[in-house]
Amino acid sequence: MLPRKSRGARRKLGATIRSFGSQGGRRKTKQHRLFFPRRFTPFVRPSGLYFLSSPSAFTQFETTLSHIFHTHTNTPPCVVWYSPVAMATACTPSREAGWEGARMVTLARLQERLPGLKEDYFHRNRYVDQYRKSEYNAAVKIQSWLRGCKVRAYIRYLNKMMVFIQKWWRGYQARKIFRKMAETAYFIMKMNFYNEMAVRIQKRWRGYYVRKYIHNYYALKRYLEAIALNNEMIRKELEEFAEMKEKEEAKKALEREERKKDYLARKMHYLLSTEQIAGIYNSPYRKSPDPMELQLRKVKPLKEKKKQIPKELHWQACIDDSFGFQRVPALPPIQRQKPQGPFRDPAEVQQQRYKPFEEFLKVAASEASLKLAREKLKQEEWRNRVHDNVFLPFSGHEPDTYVPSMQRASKYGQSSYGLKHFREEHPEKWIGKKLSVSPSSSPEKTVGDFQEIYAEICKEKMLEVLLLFS
Amino acid sequence: MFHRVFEQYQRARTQFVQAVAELATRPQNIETLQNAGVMALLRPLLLDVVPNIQQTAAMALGRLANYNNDLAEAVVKGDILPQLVYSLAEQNRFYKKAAAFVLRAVAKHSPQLAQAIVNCGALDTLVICLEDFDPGVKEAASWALGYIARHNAELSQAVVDAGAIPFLVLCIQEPETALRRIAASALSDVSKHSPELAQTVVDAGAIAHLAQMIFNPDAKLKRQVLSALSQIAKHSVDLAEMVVEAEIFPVVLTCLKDSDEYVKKNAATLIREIAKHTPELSQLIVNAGGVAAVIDCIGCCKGNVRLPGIMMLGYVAAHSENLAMAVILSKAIPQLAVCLSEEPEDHIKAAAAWSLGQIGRHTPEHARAVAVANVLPVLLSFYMASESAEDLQVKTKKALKNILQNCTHLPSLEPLLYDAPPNILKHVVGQFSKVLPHDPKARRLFVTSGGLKKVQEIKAEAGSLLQEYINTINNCYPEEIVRYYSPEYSEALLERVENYQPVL
Repeated sequence: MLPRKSRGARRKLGATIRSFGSQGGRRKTKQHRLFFPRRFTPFVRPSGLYFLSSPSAFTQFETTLSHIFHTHTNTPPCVVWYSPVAMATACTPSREAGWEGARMVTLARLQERLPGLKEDYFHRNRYVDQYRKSEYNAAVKIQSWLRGCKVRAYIRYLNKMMVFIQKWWRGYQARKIFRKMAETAYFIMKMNFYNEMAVRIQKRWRGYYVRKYIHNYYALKRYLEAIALNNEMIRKELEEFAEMKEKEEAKKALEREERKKDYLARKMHYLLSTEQIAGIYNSPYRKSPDPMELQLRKVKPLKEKKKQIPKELHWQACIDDSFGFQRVPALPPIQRQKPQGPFRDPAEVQQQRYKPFEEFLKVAASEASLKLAREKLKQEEWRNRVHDNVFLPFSGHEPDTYVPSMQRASKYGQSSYGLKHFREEHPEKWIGKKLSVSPSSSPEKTVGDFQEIYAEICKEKMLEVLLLFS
Repeated sequence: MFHRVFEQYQRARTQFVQAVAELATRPQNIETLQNAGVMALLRPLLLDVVPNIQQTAAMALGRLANYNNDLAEAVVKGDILPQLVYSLAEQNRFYKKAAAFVLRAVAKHSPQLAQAIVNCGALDTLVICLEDFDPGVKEAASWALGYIARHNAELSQAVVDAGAIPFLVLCIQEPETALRRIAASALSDVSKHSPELAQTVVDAGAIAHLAQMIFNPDAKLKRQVLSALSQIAKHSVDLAEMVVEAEIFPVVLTCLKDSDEYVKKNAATLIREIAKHTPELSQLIVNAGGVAAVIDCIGCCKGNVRLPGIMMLGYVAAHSENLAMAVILSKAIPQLAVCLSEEPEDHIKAAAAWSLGQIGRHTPEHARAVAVANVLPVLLSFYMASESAEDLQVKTKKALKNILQNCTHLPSLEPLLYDAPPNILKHVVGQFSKVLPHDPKARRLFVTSGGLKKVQEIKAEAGSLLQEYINTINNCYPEEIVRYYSPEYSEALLERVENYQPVL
């Protein structure tokens, strides 16, 4: 309930007041529409009809309506129905005059009035009947109008309330959203600001850091200078190294050259000039002899060259060479065109040409074969002997001292059997003086061996010769 | 009597085998020998009772098989290998040597032949031969193993599985130079296929011994050692670091000054293989002065020996701008320019172009250093030349693009305006359009040198990037100057003269 206000204020609030229609003490508003007070319990039952029995009742009803609609809101609404009986009752005198006397008087008066009353009653009823229909219709019309008004008013009222509620609800919601939006916007603004500031700080710091530690221009410059210096040094060192190497190479080459020259001089030592005859390097037309001449004078003449073993054989030299390994000349080419003309087959010619020299065995056998055989035997012996202390077989060779075995040692002493004697000997009974002879080889034996070998070889050769000739 | 018959027979056999072995040394005889059915004749002689004949027969076979693939295949098809493998384990050292020679000669030709040898079970006997007392046998066996492992990863794996690596590492430590050389080469052949194989070699402790041998005066040994180290280092960062940790660094640089070409080449390859992995390893090489040494090496040799050095410079420069700057300071660019213009072979040119591109792609400073050496026109000419290989064209194009996108040195860019194709011209004009708006002096120079005129002559498609750049350049100048330099200006002037109505 709004408080009372000044007129101006009230006018402003008119709408509200009117819409509420519940202002205490403001019965006579100018408004024409019907309003139901707030606490007004609807009295109209959906199927209810109010019977008005007389014109006075009608007027009474009218007043009642006005009464209803303009009564104080606090008064509970009620509908008063005036029936004829009730009206008659209302006309009875009061009880103050005393029950007995009054009753009599009243009766007399009533009886006096009775005929007229009957007429009156009749007229009245007729009159009522006469207008009953139209009254009824009018009542229906009024009621329908009234009810329509009421329902519309109620709907309007509901609508108003709905709008009101929605208005407030929406306002509330929108304010809430707005507050949230504002908050977010503020937050974003703040964040942007902070970010910007952070970027500013980081920018400065990173610039500083990078310049100081990572891309330090001066350090880089120093580093590059150092590298350039280092490179120079390395270059110089390598140059020196290369020079040294070159010198070494040159020295080696010089030595090689010297050796070659030396060899040449030794080889051509016969060109040395003598006292009498000047050599070719010592021309008499020259002031000084050729350096070669000096070289020749310095060196010794080359000795007769020994026959060298072919190089390819160096790892084959120690192969078991039992049959006298002999190098053969290269084979003739296999396929060659036969030359035009009365010539033999080239292969045949080649074969003829490269045929190794075949000699008679008599010639082939060396004179010194005996000597060679002896040599060979000697060599064999020398090769086979690993040790100077020749290992001799057991027979005829006795150990120096006897070492008794543990099994045979006993505290009872040793029997001499097997050590001193094997069986009893009686030399005095021997017929001849027999002594043991050591089996050493005599030099005569060896010579005899050789003779045997020689004889065999001769026999073989003779056989071969015989075979050849046969 | 009998004796004589046998002697004759044996002598004949010996003579035959020796003659065949002798003939097989000359390539021109081999076909004839083959036609004469020498294989079938030699095969029984491998099982001869006389060891000398066996050996010589094996040698003859080896020489034949060495000659070409078909003969080697004939050896395999003739079922000679099992005999050889069998007697490899049994016979004396000379025979072992000869048999290993045959195996080597067969294995050398193709992976299939090598696989055939592996299938015969030769690996185990060869590994046993590695344990032999005689260095010659060891040498022959490790040679054969190296030739087998050379072909592919599976064969190498088979060699590793046979347990050859520890013996090969032992062989490196022998005093005989020839044996060391061949063992090092075998290790190189094994480790070149995959990181795992290289790791096995490293696990056997090869690196330390190999690294020691860099000091060796023998050039051929040095070649093999350097090659083995580079084959180990090429696979991964870890392996490269292990090689570096063997303290090869100042020493390898002396190899770059060696008199032997292959030592130089292999040393440069080793440095390249190490440098290509990480910036740190490159930095280490730069700090050791390796770049200067390599540049000197490039300067004093020719042809393919230069190639690894050139690539090494590219790898180092590719890692970071500081390293690229170090490369520039070591005076690499003149050498590379010389290589680019002097070398006759396309692949070396391509490598040089690639390296220059890697050096120049970092910053305007780098690009300027490259451009000042007058490299750009040379690169362009190779790109345009129709006779240059496709690879060279691709490499030069990339290098040009890399350098041009960073280059702000206008005098060296200007010649490119005249003869560059549109796809290069785009970058050139783009660089002008970037520089000219901010540099009044350059704007003036650009007009006086005729660049602006050239730009007006370029016909670019409307809306293309090139057109945009041209517009940017035109916007740097007053309109009448642009119009003055545009090619139709004289006609336009004449037209105006024609259309002019004289005022009387």
